[in-house]
Amino acid sequence: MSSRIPEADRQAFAGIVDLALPAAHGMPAGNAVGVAGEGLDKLIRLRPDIVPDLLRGTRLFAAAGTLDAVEADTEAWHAVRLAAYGAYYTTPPVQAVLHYTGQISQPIDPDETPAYLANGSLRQVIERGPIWTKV
Amino acid sequence: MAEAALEADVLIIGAGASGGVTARELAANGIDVLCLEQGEWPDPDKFVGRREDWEVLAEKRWSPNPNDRLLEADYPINVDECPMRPMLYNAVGGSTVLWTALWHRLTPADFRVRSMDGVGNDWPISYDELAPFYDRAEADMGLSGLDGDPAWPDHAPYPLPPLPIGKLGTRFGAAMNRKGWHWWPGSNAIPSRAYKGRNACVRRGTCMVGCPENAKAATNLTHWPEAIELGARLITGARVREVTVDAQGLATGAIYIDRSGEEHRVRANVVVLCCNGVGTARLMLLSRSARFPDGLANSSGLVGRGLMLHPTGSVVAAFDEPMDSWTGPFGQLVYSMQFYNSDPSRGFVRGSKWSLSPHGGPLSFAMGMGHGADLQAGVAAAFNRAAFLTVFCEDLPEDHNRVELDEELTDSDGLPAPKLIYTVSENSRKLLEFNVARACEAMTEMGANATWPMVVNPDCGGAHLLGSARMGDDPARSVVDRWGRTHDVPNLYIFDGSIFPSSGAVNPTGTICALAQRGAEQLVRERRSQRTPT
Ligand SMILES: Cc1cc2nc3c(=O)[nH]c(=O)nc-3n(C[C@H](O)[C@H](O)[C@H](O)COP(=O)(O)OP(=O)(O)OC[C@H]3O[C@@H](n4cnc5c(N)ncnc54)[C@H](O)[C@@H]3O)c2cc1C
Ligand code: SF4
Repeated sequence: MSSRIPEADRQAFAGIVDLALPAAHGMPAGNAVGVAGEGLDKLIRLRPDIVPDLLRGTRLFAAAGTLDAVEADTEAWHAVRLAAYGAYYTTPPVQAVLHYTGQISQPIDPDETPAYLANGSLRQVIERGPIWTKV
Repeated sequence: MAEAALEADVLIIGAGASGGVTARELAANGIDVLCLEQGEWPDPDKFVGRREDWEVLAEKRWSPNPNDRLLEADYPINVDECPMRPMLYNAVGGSTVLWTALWHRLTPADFRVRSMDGVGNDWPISYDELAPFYDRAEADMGLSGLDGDPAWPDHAPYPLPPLPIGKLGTRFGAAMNRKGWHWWPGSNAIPSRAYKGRNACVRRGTCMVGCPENAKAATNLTHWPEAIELGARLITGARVREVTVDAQGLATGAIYIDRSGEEHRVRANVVVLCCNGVGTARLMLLSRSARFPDGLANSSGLVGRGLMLHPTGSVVAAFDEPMDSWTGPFGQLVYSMQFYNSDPSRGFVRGSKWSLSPHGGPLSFAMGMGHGADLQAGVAAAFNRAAFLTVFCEDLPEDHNRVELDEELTDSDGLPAPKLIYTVSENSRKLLEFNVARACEAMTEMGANATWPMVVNPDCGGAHLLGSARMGDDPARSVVDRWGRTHDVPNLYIFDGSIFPSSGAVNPTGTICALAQRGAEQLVRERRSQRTPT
């Protein structure tokens, strides 16, 4: 597969992912779910426009070794986070932890009586009467 | 320039909300209509809302901000002097392709802000005059809502029952009841059951990247197919660079550039501008001539001025239990008009409307949350357990807020781009501060364990483009009359959001559609006495 990300930048990106998406609070580490590998490739296929900013970010990180240096460049920071988070949240393990099914179809029953009418909760609003200003 | 000019009785420029409504009404009355639209027909099969990677594409190809998309159909907008991101879409259907379809009428008092509060401009028309056209627009767009909201006078029933308000809406309603504050199930131009050729909403929640289910109202679905069946002609990929005039000062048509760069001339008896609150002012300023050296129909100097953008505050609130927070519609689940009426004792005039919505997918949620362990903690705790509350505030028309032509930036055809010069007024800031604080109280009452308030959210305002060619009786203080006809050019009309004299605090497209319907009906009625070029 042809990747437009040089190996050194991929390594730096993996370093960013280590800090930005650590294993914590029940969430898996970004590098454990392939964010800097297949995930990054997928992202740049979808969004080739971010590559220049992304590479600036990886090089800032490679030079400084801290996220602060990347954060100081707004566009670069945006691009590395978009690539990292964009890959991360579309992986099945992460979606499973979040109980996120993706944007699925959930048809509605328009004839069902809404609870706010059945239990009278909207009645209070109605009983206070009109609130619009007459002119 | 291509030799043979196209001809039409009425030329409409812009095929969005107002253009669609106007074209259909005129065509239904046998008028020969031609519309020029710089964008193309949207292809619902290309909408990304069913794809797992939809959020990654949502901030580029499907961004509501033309400066992100930069498609050929788009024109860039200079916002160096505007704190808000403009949102619009250039295609058949216009911005309704991406809109979230929150729908309201203005209230009667919104038409009388100068008389009541000494600010802004009164409208030359009243709520009662516009009411029948709201009824019509609601039937055409397929409104889903619950009748009887005490925040408005009684009106014709909505054609469709309301969409479900979900766990979030239910909790919000209970909390607002405890506070004794107004709330109501959301009114949305999203069909709760199949309606006039559109499918019922299936709550996919990706309305802002185009509805892949052909459910959400957008004029490429609700108006254009019928307009074309009735005989209207629509040319896409046609960017108008100038509205032409004759020696008598009447509009004679327009010159447009097609996608191959060739120029074409259209001759018309009447021209209607429907390019929205930025595009219309831009085109009028581009249409300078010996007769109109300051821009078309600009003897008042007000073309472009009085721009209103509805600055918007927001509160994200997190709860302890799952709330189905990514389930659509990405319209409004519920809304509140509690702080809509003006109360100067609060330290500002005019008011706000609140809308409660789901928060969308995980990527947009995380992008707002930083990084590292804090991010992981925040997402683990709050994703799918959060609500997004938007505070829309009435923006006052201030003439220094304006659309100008940029001196350097151009679109892909080399035409000067618009530049927005806009500051959030002190009144708006106080109004938003007050409301965002009240909204946090409401969220706490709902049981929120954390809230993230934002007094001015630059990513939320900027979709309502209003006021840059306002309506009024006095030609020295307004650009168009009560029918949308420009004071200076008797066969040039504007039917889009530019003509709002004041903005109200509700989402404006219901009013834009009603004004276009009313204006188009008047054009039909008066067609025999309409002055036209010889
Ligand atoms: C993301 C988003 C969410 C929104 N949510 C809501 C909401 O919930 N509720 C609400 O009420 N409103 C909402 N809006 C605003 C709503 O979409 C607009 O108010 C409405 O579409 C404006 O209608 P219009 O006819 O004035 O202009 P538009 O619908 O913007 O149409 C203008 C058309 O003119 C064309 N045009 C412009 N210049 C030229 C030219 N020189 N030559 C040829 N064609 C030209 C454009 O390409 C465009 O298609 C939202 C907008 C966006 C972008
Ligand atoms: S929530 Fe409804 S209207 Fe919105 S995209 Fe999904 S189906 Fe369409």
